[in-house]
Amino acid sequence: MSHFFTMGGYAFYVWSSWAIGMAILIAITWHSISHARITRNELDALEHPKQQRDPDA
Amino acid sequence: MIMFDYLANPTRFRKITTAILPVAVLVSAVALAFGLYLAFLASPADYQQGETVRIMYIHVPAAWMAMMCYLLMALSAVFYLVWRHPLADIGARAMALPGAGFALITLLTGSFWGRPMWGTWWVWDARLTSMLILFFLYLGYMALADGFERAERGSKPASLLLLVGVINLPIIKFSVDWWNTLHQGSSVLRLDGPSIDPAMLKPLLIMALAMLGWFIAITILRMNTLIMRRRITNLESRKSWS
Repeated sequence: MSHFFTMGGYAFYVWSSWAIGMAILIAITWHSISHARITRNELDALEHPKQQRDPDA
Repeated sequence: MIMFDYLANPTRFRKITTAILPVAVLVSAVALAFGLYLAFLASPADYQQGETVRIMYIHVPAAWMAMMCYLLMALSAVFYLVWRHPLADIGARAMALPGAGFALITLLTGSFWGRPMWGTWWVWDARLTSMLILFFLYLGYMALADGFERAERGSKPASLLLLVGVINLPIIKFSVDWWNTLHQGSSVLRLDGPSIDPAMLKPLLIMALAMLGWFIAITILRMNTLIMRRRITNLESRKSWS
């Protein structure tokens, strides 16, 4: 098991690569979801000006 | 063309993509779990590169995706420039950020692989430089597409940039054959078949599938956001006239 974490002495390079890669994918996912949510709320407010949508819905 | 016309109706597009999205997310999640297992537990260390070979399972699929995404954007640009359909333009715009992300992942993980194996974070050789140019093409496209007050103004110059940049794709692919480079040659997409061991090919392909599923889901999500954004712009301009 310790071999898994040390990666034969290359732990820094292997784990940094995967951490950076995953961080970029997660950041883009988060950005896309939050943008979709903001835009949907904005559009709903324009199309139905009377009934305000719950921002968390 | 019939297929494209069929999909080009925004309401129908929304309906179809809403059905595809959860499937893409599911495929991506399952493939990621399986891919991580294969990449870290079920595949051997390389006889020359030791455990650093595990960087390959994120580096290489990301590079494939970065190139495939650019090709799809260039095809969308053709559809947009020739048939003027806004959905093709929206598609290219939606793919730009994930594409840039894949190119950046390729460059950074490559650096973290090059340092222990080549003794350097970076060299200005053909493969690395052409991949850096791909990343800059993505950034340039985004700057050009979004650089105008009215979003549609940027569509034509940005699409033209995509077409010009296509020349970079074969340069990336064949750079390792055309020039002397530190970067190793192709071991998967070769005329004489893959030379890579199946135990290493499998995690590569599964990780590529995970990234493809993610890419499809993100593109659908971003396209629908852009469609809503255009609707907002239309509604607002109508309001300011009435």
